[in-house]
Amino acid sequence: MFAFLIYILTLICIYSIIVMSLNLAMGYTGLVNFGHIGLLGVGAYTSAILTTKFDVSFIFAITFAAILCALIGALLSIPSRKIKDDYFALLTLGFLFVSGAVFINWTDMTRGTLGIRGIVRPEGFAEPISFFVLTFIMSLVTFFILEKVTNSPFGRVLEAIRDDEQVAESLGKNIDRAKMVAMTLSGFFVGIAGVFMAHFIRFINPASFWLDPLVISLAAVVIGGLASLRGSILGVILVFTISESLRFLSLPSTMIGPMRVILFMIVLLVVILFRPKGIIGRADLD
Amino acid sequence: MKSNSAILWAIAIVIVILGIVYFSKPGPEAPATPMEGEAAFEIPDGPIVLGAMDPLTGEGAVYGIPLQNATMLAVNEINAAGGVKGHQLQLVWEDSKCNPQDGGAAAQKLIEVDKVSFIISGDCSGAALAAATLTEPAGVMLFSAAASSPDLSTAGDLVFRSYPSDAMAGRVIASYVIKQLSVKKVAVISEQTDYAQGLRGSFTTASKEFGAEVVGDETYNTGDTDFRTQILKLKSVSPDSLYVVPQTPVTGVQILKQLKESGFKAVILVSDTMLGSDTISQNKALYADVYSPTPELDASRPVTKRFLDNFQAAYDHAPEFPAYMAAAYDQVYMLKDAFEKVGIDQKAVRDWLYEVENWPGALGDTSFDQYGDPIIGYHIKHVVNGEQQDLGAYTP
Repeated sequence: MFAFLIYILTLICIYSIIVMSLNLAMGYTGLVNFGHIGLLGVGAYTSAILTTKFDVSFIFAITFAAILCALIGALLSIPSRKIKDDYFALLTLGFLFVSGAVFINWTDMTRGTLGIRGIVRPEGFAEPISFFVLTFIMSLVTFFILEKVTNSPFGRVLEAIRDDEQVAESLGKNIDRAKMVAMTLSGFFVGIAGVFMAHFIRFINPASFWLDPLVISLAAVVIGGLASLRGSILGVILVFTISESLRFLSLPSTMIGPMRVILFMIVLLVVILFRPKGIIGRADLD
Repeated sequence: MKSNSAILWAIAIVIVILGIVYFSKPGPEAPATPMEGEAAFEIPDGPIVLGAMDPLTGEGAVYGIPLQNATMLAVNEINAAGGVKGHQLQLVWEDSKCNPQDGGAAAQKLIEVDKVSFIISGDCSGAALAAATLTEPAGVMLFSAAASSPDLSTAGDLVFRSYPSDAMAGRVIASYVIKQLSVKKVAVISEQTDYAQGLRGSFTTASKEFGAEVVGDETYNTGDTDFRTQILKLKSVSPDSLYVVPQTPVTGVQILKQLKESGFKAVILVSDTMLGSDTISQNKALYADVYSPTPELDASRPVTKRFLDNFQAAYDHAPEFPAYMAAAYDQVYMLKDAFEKVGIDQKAVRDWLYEVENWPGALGDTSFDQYGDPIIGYHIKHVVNGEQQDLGAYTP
């Protein structure tokens, strides 16, 4: 039981980083970014390729992956100057598809659909428990940095952009730069999460970065609440607690798969029904 | 303060859920493992609990649910006939959703919470490979019926499968077409999935080994419907033979159609996913002269006939993927035989599996190589104008 708990707790920590960074773009800045999971994949693949093919250290791999994802995040923010709201969401969905196509087709590097295996955990953290501690510390660091950013005057600029871009601009705020910084930070942290994901599961393939993790992350953001980092963590904990505890219900074997999905969705619906802004959310998306 | 009360509420909900789960779950069954070093013939009282993971929801469920049915059929048959030396088989099912993250979580839960020593799985290669990173260090045997990626061969000492690796099928058909049909230049068109890429890899490697030249090697993404660009490129290098490797028959038929329209002339080979009898009878004109390797599923064998008949009787339809499902069915019987011979210690079962020779299964006579992959005879099927002819067993 203990090792199973550690496994789930490690996943919760990794997803907390993913969802907090998604919330920075989506909840605080109002940029709905479906490409977030694509960036997660870029981080994971970068580190997996660097450590398995080029034998670099974990520290170098994670730094490189995070910076690469930050750069891509910055690039993704550029179209947001012209393309707004739903159209921006569609554009980022496009990025998810493009990144998926790259993972599948750049077979020399990614081994395509066969995936990359033999990814090892960093030295000294091979044991599940020590790797969990490392992940836990990383998610705390992410939380404190993002908490600092969102509580600063800059954080309020981001929220102003979300609520009304024109007002923010008329007050002399550089909204393009603010969006770019938000997306860069968001990309940086999701890149780190990707590295942790790859070294935790120790096997990645294109299916790891497709719609399943996107649904989990979006559900966690919405349940926890937009524009709240504590809400993001709470959302992830709730999503995992509910879906994993459903494993323990005794159901007839033919019903296990579908019943779990149905029960999970019912719980989600109830949360949304009673708390439309999420549990501790402060904002609405139009 | 409003958000604080919300946090308290959420924590309360989590605690309540955890509480319900904790108290509603009966204590873990008597673990199925005897103490290490003990004479392996003692099977502890109570049922033998096995873990089972299949993709039960999502895209993989197309394969997962039929495989689950085949597994359940074998378990029910064994239990109805008195079980394994009087012990009933009991399965704990987990949904792996065909992706590494859930495959890992499912395996971890089976190992740690249900304390199983054996996991049987009808899983996609991705989920199985992620599961193998956990089962192997835990000393749990992972027995897969559907994961066909060549990578699984080296995934661990306790990792077995009852369906042959893709490495085998690609090699068999390459050898047949080069040695028997005297083909010099081969080409391949394959879908970007782990199954198809595994076949493509083994086919091209084996072709070079047998002295043919690989003149064309095209791929396409899942969901593509227009293959004329690839066909045009393949036509320009005029191969003597083309190997068509789709993940599903629908796409494969589309490719055959466009090959025919373009006037492509070569010996056409297809993967065994294209051998569904419905698919062939609906597209007789396209299956004018096609070769394919397939594991023997010979209905004249008593075991195979029993599997096919009992499946029809239990589920009121024929097996959807006969070869894969026969592998899932065999898996359970193979473990039953092993338990009866050497007990339920994983290492003893592993040694038994390595030693077994020509074990009579529904899929064919099975032995295992040093990687835990089954050595199963392949048959070459020749389809002429929609009529399947069995050209007999063929070993490269």
